[in-house]
Amino acid sequence: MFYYIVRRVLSVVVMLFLITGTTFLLFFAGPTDPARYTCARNCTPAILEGNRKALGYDQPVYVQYGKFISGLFVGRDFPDNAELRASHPEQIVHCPAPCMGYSPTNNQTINTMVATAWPVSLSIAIGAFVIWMVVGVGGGVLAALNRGRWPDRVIVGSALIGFSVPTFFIGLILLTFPAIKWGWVPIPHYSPFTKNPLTWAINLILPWLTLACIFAASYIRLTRAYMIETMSEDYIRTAMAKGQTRWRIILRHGLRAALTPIVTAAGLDLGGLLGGAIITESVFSMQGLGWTAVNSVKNMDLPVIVAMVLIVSTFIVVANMLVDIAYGFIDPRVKLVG
Amino acid sequence: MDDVRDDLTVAETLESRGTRVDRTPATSVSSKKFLRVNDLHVSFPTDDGLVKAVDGVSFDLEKGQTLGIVGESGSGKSVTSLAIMGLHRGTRAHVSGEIWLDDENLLAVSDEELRSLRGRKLAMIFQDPLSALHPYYTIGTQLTEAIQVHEKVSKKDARTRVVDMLARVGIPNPDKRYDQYPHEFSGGMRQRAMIGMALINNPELLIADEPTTALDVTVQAQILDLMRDLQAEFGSTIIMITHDLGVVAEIANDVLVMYGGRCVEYAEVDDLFHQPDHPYTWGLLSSMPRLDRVKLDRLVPVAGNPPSLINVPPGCAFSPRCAFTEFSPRPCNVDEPQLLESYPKHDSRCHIPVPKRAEIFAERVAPKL
Amino acid sequence: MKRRTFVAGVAGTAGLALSAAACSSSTATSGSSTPAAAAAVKGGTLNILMSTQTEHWDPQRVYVGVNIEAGNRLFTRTLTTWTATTSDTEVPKLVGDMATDTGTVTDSGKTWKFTLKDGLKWQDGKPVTADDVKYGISRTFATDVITGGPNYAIAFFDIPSDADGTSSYKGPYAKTGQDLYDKAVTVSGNTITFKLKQPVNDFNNTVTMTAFAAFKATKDLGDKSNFDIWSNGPYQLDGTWTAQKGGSFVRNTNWDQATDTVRKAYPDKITWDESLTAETMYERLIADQGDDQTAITFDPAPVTALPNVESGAAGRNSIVASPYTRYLTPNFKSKVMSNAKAREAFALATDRSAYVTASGGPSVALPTNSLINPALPAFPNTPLPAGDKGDQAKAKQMLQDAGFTLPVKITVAYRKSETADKIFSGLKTAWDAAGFDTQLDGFSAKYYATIQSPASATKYDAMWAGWGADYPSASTDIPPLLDSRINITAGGSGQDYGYFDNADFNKAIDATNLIADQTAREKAWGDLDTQAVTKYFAVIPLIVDKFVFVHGSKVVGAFVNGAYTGYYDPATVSIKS
Repeated sequence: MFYYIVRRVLSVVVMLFLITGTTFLLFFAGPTDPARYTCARNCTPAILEGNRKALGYDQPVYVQYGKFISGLFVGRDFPDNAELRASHPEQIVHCPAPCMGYSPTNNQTINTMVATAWPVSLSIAIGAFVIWMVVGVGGGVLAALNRGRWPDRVIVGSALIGFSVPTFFIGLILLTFPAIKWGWVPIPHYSPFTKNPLTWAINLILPWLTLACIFAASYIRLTRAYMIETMSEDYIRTAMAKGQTRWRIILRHGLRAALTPIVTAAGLDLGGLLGGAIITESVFSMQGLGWTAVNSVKNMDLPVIVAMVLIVSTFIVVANMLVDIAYGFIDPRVKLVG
Repeated sequence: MDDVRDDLTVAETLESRGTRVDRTPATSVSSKKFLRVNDLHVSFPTDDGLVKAVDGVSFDLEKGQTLGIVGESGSGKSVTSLAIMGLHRGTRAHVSGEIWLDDENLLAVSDEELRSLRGRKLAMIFQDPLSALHPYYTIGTQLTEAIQVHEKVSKKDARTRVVDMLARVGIPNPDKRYDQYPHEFSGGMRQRAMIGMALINNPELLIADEPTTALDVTVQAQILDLMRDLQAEFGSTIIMITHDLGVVAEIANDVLVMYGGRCVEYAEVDDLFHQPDHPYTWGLLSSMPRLDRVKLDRLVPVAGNPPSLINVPPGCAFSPRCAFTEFSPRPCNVDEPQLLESYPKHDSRCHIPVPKRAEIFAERVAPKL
Repeated sequence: MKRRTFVAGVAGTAGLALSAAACSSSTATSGSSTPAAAAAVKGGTLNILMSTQTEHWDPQRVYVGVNIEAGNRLFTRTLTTWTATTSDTEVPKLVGDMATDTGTVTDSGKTWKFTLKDGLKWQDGKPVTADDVKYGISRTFATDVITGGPNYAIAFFDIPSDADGTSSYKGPYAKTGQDLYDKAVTVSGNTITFKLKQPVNDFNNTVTMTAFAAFKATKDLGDKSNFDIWSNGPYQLDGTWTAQKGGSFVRNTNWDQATDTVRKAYPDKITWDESLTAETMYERLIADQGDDQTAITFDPAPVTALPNVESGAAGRNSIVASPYTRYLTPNFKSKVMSNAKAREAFALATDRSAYVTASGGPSVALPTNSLINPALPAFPNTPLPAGDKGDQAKAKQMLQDAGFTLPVKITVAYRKSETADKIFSGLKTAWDAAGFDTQLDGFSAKYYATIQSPASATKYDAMWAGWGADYPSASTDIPPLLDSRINITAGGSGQDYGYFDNADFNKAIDATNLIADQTAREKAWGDLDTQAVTKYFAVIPLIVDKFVFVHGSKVVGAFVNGAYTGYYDPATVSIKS
């Protein structure tokens, strides 16, 4: 097990290198000239050239990538100009390790941007996760136990609707009616948990429901399918033959076995969401990682785009690894070979 | 269907109306019948039609005795045992008849009452112990559960009892094995564990559904030995379901042969082997590989396939495959034979007159066995 | 023009011209016209909601109309500025803001002098000096650090250039050429004097841009100063500004109302939230719930919100002409369009009503036949040659008379979008009816860079473009677009996309620049505009975009300052209690 973990961690690192390297290549070696967006209407080629130099875009791609990687470990200065550092040190921004870069559009190190954006995405993801797991798994179990009868049809039907409706549509409906038009809930603004947990929660209800909707729908179907399968297993019959009570059989014998694939799917979904729920954040104007990523694309803010790619891939790749490792603990039959 | 029963005796007439007189090969009237199954019917509605899995089966069992139920796949033997355990409740199966355990009709008791009986008064072990045991819980946990469902016992005490039982069923190193998972056991060990789980509450009735089918022959013998020993120790009554006459010979007191959802022969085990009274039984015996057979003749299988339980052909269910229909005075594929006593405590269901059957067996079948 | 800038106007009859030219549902009706002073109370919080993000607050880097106006009204005073308006149609006047008056010009427009008022203070109580102004403007020359802002200082000041065309003064950080700058901009006590390369008679208009505002040298962190607002206006930043999210402002107690005739500073606090989407924001404004009742925005309503504005926000909306004019440039280098008759026919056949319909109707676009925006005093209101629809039959006749074999094949470039596709399909129908065979080429990536490139000169017969003046003088319309000398190079057309190159026209531009009297000068620009459109057919103006704005019900005194920027002017806004 130990060697397995070691190998997985190493492969995660390699994968992250590959991902960030490819991203770098795509953006910085691509046809878009990143310096163009720093210059206004009376741009002359000379000014453009100057900006390009100042931002370091004139250097070859591998040098830029090397600086990015080294910045992750030791930090970086922006602009990386020795003369300026000597003459006007107050104009230099120092970005401590792990430095993910500097955004000229926002005049901030990406670390600062991520530090403020990440709690938002985390809050949205966790709340939605709890809601969709409860509704999804609970609904799926009820549907499976009532298979063929009307509760099953109602639950599966609702799941189908929830699954088909696009997230942005649900989000806009929830924002327009309960919040703006009827005033049932205040118009969502992100308020930190540390400030006031209740305000934090009230403001997040609509984003949670929006995001949970589509996941709950798919987890209902998933749970239902796995539950039906597990409940038809022989060990359920054995448990009944032992005289075990109905709900203990459903939960301890049936659901326990069905949960394994569900939990691994949930782990992956949650990992992906930690990198930001783009649509939900945009609809509710919550400045999490997803919103930051969208804005960075709108503004062609390339360092931020690269950093967002890195962050999101890290979450997903690490979640993958953790889920695989967890599987070894959940299912005793699985042996993780290093 | 024409009524061709003009020349039947009174007794036969009664039987033709489908009521079975309470008959059993048991000896003394004063022995209390521990288990009495009366005209059990189990059918399943399917999209293709009504499957009559069990079509009127009756048998009795005394305490401490072993009944072997023999038949092919689809003969209804497992369904019968599940009906006794009440495991058809909540499914779409239609169950009718009576199942008397001591003085309770298991088909009539409440769900809760039945649940509390299961695992305590009556227990069942299944064919494939790997799929019948939960892969995520240790053997010890699963056996402990069997106890704790019915009794309030501390974890420590439960563990002691379980370890004892594991030892009793012949599992070495039981304390270590307590914390292991089913997939870490060998096939034979798993089945021993399952037997232990069934017996841990000292049930009075144990139903074993093909417990050795999935095991090697040598292991099979060990399991059967174990069951016999446990029966002697605990005094349990056993129903052994199998398709293997060899197993029956080893362990049963009485034998019930089922075909097409019905009982075709019901006798004490010695009688069955020495004087089998039904062409199907002859077929089973002939198709058994036996070490004591000197001749190197080919095995004689029973030709044909098991009958459909949906569209039950009229007349005798076995007639399409029977080699001896010519000896029947009645049309076998039209008239359904009743279950009648051929010899004392020996019933069978066939039109061929009993003496004729004895003759056929002696001349045609026995020499080849 | 890619960026939004502001439009400003000088006293004149432009306002009336605007209402005359506009369609019935435009400016005059909506927006309250009660004088702000009567209802205004001090206090309350004004919430500014935005869906576009602020790129810079650094005064030398701001080039977006919204931020120039908001910055100026809240915390960045300039030498001169425009008065606030009391209705959507009133035309503001140019007045001194930090300066005592609108400046003194000598040397036939090449030297300008301004004297600062007394009592101007920064938010820490230190005085604002003429040296601060000099320092601030010098930062424009550090083009590698202070990026994004207008380059008028570089273009106008009497400082030589290097061989590669960049100024010999490299800005206050590098210090190269500092002596050259010190010669062009001199400070004596409270007075600052500018020496220009060429006569610029409306330089006192130019300095309304915040690029000519003061900046404290000790607070200069270069690029890092981008969002570090250091105020000499009525409000100062409370805490920090978060990019793409916003911030809030509280009163600057060191600002003295007595020195400021323009800003009333009624609200106690101003919040700025730029994290919203336009659709959501307008839904909220129309719904007018809670805090949104004291909200205002500088973003125009998206098309989706337009149907609800009249019904949901009656009495608190404004429909005004935007600073932007959209037009076509015939390509003088193309074979077809080098023929004046062809150009005339093309202009005659242009169906502006199709443009308006495809854009979304009269509330969204206003047909025009001038490059100059209707809000400007220079607006000549050139009549349309044959009404909104044009005259395709007459144009066809004109082509035949000129000896063309019909149909005349032409290729027209435009910046692609769903709406633009519809617009140009409508325009094509009309042109084709007039005897042209129009090939449309719509693309959006690097639109302006592409049509400026030499390759496009051989490809297109006409190009679409858009433009808005930088400040209310038409000197920011006519020369930048039609003076071949500053535009056409080997590298492309510059902003003269059609390669219009006429020596007489250029001479007339020079002459106009020399006219000292403001009114006469603006009229001369208007005449040049008319010439370009009706004599040379160098440009075919199409429409002026219209803006629709909504504000909360408790906001009083919000008027669009059409000539200054084309957005609500916060100078006189107050909150109803």
